[in-house]
Amino acid sequence: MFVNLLNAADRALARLERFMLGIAVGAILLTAIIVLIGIGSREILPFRIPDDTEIIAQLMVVSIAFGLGYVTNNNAHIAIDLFYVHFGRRFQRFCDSIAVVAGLIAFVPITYWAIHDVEKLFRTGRYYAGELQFPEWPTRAIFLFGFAVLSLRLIMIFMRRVTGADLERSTDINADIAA
Amino acid sequence: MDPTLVGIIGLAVALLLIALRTPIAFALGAVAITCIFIFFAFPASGGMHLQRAIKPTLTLSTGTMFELFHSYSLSAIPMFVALGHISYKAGITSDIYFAARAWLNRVPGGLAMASVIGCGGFAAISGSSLACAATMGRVAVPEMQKHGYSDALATGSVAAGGTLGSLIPPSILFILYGVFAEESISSLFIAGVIPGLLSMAGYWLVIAIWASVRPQDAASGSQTFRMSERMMALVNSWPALLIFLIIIGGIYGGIFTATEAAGVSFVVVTVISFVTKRITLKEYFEAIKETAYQTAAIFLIAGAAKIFVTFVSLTGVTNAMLVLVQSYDPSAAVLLIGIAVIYLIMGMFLDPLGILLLTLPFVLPLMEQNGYNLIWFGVIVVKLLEIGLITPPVGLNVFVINSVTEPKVPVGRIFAGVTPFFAMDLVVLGLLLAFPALSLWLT
Amino acid sequence: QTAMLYADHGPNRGTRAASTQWFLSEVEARTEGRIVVDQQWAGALLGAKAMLEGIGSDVASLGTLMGSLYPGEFTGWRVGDLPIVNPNEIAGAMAMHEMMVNNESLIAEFDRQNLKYLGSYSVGPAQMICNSGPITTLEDFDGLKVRYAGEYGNILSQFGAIPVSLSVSKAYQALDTGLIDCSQAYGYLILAYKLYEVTNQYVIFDEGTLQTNAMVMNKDAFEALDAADQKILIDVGTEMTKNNAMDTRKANKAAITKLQEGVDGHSVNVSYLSDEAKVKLHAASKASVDAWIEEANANGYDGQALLDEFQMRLAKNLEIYKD
Ligand code: NA
Ligand code: NA
Repeated sequence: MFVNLLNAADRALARLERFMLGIAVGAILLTAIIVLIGIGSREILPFRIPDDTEIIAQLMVVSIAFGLGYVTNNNAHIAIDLFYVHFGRRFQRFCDSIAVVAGLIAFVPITYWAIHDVEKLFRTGRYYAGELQFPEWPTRAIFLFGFAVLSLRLIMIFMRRVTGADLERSTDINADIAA
Repeated sequence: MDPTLVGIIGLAVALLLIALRTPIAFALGAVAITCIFIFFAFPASGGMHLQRAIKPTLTLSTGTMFELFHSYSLSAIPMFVALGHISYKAGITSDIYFAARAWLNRVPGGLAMASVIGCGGFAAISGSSLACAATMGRVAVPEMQKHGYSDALATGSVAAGGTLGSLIPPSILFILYGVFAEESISSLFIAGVIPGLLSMAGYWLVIAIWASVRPQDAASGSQTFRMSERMMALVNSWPALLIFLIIIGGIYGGIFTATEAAGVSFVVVTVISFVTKRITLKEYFEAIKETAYQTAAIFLIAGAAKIFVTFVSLTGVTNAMLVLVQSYDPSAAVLLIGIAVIYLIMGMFLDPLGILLLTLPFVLPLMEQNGYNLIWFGVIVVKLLEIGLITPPVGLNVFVINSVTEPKVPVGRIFAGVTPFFAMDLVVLGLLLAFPALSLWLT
Repeated sequence: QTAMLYADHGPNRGTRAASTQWFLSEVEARTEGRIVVDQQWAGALLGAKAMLEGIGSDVASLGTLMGSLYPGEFTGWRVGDLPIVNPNEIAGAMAMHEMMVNNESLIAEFDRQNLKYLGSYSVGPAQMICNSGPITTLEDFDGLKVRYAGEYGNILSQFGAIPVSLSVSKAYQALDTGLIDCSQAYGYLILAYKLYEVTNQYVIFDEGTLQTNAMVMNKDAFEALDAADQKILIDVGTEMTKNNAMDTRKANKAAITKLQEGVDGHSVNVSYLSDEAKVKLHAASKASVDAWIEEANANGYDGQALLDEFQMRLAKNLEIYKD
């Protein structure tokens, strides 16, 4: 029962991750267009985008943060498997658990503090220096959202491991992701 | 607690986690955050301040990660990654490798040598070793594999080729070093040229030896090409040449910056690919999608590594190592070797910029006291920083190549492929140390 | 004994770093070792943008803060960054410092960030380094691509300049390739970043400057000290402010001579903005000043009063620190 619930939540999260990756794709394309306009307005164009480097910096946050959950779900984080491949199956599973715990130690605190940051930036109305005076909180909220999904994904992996759900349905999940 | 001890234990734990296949980003982040907390909670002056330590720890970690993401100048990385993916999917790279093979098929390891030139040229222009690894990793590695090169040689040569980026001008590392050391940047640029070319020649030598000792790793074609076929192959590779010319012309002609060149080449490759009908819309979005999640993976490591730098900075490990070296009252030459070893050790874990910021405040005054030429020392430092990009356990070039190859070449095999190039780097470093004229002759 | 961390975003070389190191060692000496400071340079611990949060939450108890990065937090303090005539480093620094320690609304501004102001750093008037013919009028900027910081990008664009936003570390290469024709710069920075290697024209404006660079301290950490040590920090901060301004003025003046004579064979022509051009510049700057007054008023300050006080103190100090 619980495992079914977990699997349903897992699929919903995977959908969200794919959607966010789509937004990251859009952010990368938009970045290139803004770079091009920036060059153009130095040389020929009669207009320019104010604060274009600031806009690109903010798009970078989207491009990176919105891919974090997807990478984690696809086990695509960069790791060294030099020794791992020689370990026994049980020890490999132990190592996998260590990895998830390390991920939780690293990113849950960052997620937690990002909430604090968004709240504070929203309350104080802090903005970036520049012509358009962009408020800082939306970018920080995007950062928070990316890390929240990353943390949720790590918790999900942890729960599935604890309940053994990862053994039962791992192939199905991969098929779901590939779809 | 003694901060240096916390630092050393932290490094050891990070090493262990990485060996157990904890993702690099997770290992660096978890260790750094934990150790920063310990630093503030158990200060060297004594006492225990668990509650008080939370805020500085979280402020530092979260702020550092965010500031790394929120970066205009690093926006070049995803766009260069995209350039690699699109070029690959559009077959632009196949054409240029076919041409390279047509011209170089009698040279053992010719394609790897060409890759080193391409990578060195690319990195030289973009000023970023990682950008090179990102683009060429996607482009050069699969082409070499297709032509019968082993994974180790294909990835090793590209990873090493990328490290030429900062020695050959322009180079952001030289600019930063010049500002720190109050030395002429143009002299530093000039000083880097011969060491850069020497490094490249060294890599060719490695490839030549490798290909002759293990010919099966660099299968040279048995096929022969007529001159007309060769010319045709060259003509067919025009898209790649055009992109290359636009980038070079644009940067050196003062039309755009190296950062902007990434955006320009991304747009140009998109236009060429669609106009010549080499790519479908579906393949195109597939390429950007791969770009997006590799960007996330690469930047999560870079962000965690940046937090790791702040942790190392807090622990004072850098200064402790220097004090240790000095405590032996070494001769000037031994001191220099000691410092080189410190850079190599730090290069195992940290990124070039982080190392530069951590070490220069301590190292430069020391070098000055000992009467070393700071231009020459700048070349040595940049060479050492570049070596760090390919040394385990944290070798950013290697990681980037791992993340962009499909199917993935395991990190361990890339490190194995890099080893002979690393050995050559040490030889070149030795030459640069022994003969300052190699760096200073042109300045 | 109190062990503190000091964080800086820049290298531990140059005029400002020398002032900082004097400040820190003087504090250690005068408190007879009751305060010891571990220095963290070059942004290894906290970068420029991380400083406000970092010092406010006591990651480092002491650090260098650039107010221009947090325009919303330091609306009042930014009176020192306005494009008004402020040509003497020492007078400008002392005027700013006097305001920081006396003006209640500025003290409150720092209180809100959990910070204690201790002293100011000077950069001197913003000048321009170019690859161009001699520049004496504002119309000479027509069509030139100018890297800027602060308000002068917008102001010069009224005369046909094309503002380009680049970090100072990229200026060298951009000037070298011709991507930009001019970069706003302070005299000593031109030497630090070697911009004379890739330019031929130094244009002296001697107008506005950025005055919002300060040595600041975590307020809780400051208040945890006993009164005697607090006074030492305040006194040393005041002395540092003046000494740093004197050193910066000397460095900026020396830069003019050095650039003309040439460094390593690179020499640069020096031109001065004409008086007529300066009148135009003031007229063009008025919109920026007015916008700031409006912003300050909207944020609960009396903008005009702050500006008047700053100009009054500036005028008084210009009398004291005549050459
Ligand atoms: Na370069
Ligand atoms: Na390394």
